[in-house]
Amino acid sequence: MRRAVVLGWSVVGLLAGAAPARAQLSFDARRMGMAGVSLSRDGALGRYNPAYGAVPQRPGRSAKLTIPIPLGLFQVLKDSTAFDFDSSYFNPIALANYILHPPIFLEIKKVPTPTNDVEFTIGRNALLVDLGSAAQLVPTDRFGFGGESRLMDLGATIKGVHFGAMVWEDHEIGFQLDSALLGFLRLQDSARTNTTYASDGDGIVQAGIAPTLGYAGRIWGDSTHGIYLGAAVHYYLGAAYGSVRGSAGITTGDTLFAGSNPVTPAIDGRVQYSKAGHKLGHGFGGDVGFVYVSGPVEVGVGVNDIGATLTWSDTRVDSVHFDTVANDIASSLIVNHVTTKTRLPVSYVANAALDLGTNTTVGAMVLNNGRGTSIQLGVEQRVGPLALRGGVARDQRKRVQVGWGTGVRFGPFGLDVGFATHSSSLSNARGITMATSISIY
Amino acid sequence: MRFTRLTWLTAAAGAAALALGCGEGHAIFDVDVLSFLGGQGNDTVPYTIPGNTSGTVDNPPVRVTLLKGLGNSTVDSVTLTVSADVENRTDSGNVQFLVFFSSDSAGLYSTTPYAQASVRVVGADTQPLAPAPIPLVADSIFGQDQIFVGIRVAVAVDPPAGPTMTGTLRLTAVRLRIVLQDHLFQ
Repeated sequence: MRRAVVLGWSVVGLLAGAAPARAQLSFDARRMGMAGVSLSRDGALGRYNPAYGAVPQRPGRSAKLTIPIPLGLFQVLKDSTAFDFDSSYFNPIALANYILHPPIFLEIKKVPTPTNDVEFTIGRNALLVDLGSAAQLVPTDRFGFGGESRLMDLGATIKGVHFGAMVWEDHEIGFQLDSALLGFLRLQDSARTNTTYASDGDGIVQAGIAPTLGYAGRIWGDSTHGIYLGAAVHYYLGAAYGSVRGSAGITTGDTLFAGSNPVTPAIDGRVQYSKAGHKLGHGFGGDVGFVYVSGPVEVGVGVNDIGATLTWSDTRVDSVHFDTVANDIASSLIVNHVTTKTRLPVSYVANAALDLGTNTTVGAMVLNNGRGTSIQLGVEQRVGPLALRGGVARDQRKRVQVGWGTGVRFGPFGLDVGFATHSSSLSNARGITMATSISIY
Repeated sequence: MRFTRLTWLTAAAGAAALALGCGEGHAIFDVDVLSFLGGQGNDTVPYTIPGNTSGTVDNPPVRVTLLKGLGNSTVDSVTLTVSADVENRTDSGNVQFLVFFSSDSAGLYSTTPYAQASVRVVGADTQPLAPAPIPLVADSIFGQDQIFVGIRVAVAVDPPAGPTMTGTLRLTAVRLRIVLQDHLFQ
């Protein structure tokens, strides 16, 4: 069952990645080999810059379809450490890493997971925990993950006018430990009496569809020297959303392990939600983009989800707290059938590409999707049917990552392999992913 | 979900659960039992034994908090470190202390002692009792969230005897080192 969940999560991403141009997710080994840079004016750039809907594809460079080869799924099927809960070798870190880094492609160097003893020192008025090397897993600043995805974009484009509907989802979860809890878990501070140890957290999940009307076209010049503009208006319809914000922890008493004052859980939160089947959330938002092409030079800027605020007119708001009488978590209604608003994060992208004229193309991209900025630089060198690729990037965690790869063309088909380092796991160490894909030109 | 008194300890150790679940890691508990005994004034055991007899003095059972394993734990090993000073004031004889552990207080002193050591004292004399760390049977009671500990002093007075043999056994260290293999999801 657990393996099926992770595989399902991966297959959803895989199917979305195989969809044509406007879908967001791209599992293209060519991009992986250039640390995420896209040189082919494909769906990856079109997702963030609507002007690319009008920019002509590079002859012989832009694939009609890219199909990832999901070797990573076979690896997941064989991995027992993340799924055999009943075994002594079960590793929850490995399972968490699969969720944070969906295993579409093969992990040729897995992120090492800490394996060590954990030591507790206990006294009547003392509690100290030594997590060993596992202490590095305790985040010192806000830890979170999330993303906004356009899972599917169904529609048609006629003479630059695009109309259709996209399926979207947005999720974000984050928490931050307070200084007392950080000191206890990471710095081996002994627990103290009459002290609160807590974590602040928040999370939101929302999804729906968005009918879209857009336009992309060349406003000046010709196919070799031109300026392209694109814009789209989305009418977001939210099917459901839920959000939570608050803090949770404990407050110690006069004595840690004795005395008449028991430890008291400290929970204070607020939950807001609009269930599916209730009134839809709604709101407008838009994308704009600009691309300048002049011979070998290409520059683009795009902004997504501008003003994307959804209004939910049938929201329930509950408070969550610890009931000291019932000794249990309790919730109580604050207000029902009220109007609340949610927002989608605004994404910004700037990209550039330069064809050096020696079958060499260099590209760069800066992307801020509301959760941090990533910077990517990549280069592709073509030698006959062979392509050599490399790149370097700074990810959203401000860590340097490297990519390299190659590809070969067989007429209308291309087979590409790309390697990329990543830090999208519960560790400070890097893993290496090998991506493989087939492109149809 | 109802919260027991010790739930917060499990929550605080939740981060440790990740480490515990990482392959072959163990949970090691270093418990200062003496702090629990001393907090209730049970770190000393005075004795007054009539001459030419023997007798025992039992301290009231004291509850010691452990951290129960987060799943079905198995106890790999248990080591007890204990030391005491016998401060004899009058008469002479053999003073022995015995350490008992049990999961409940009612039958604590009817169980087999987990450790014992003895020393001979003569007159006004202070003698240390400091056996080497004692490996104990890896009893499952050490995988629970609490145990009860009892200290018994057994005195055998030498003949010919004075009127009474008096003194105090003062514990100076009682530590348990418990190594658990945690099975979080079994």
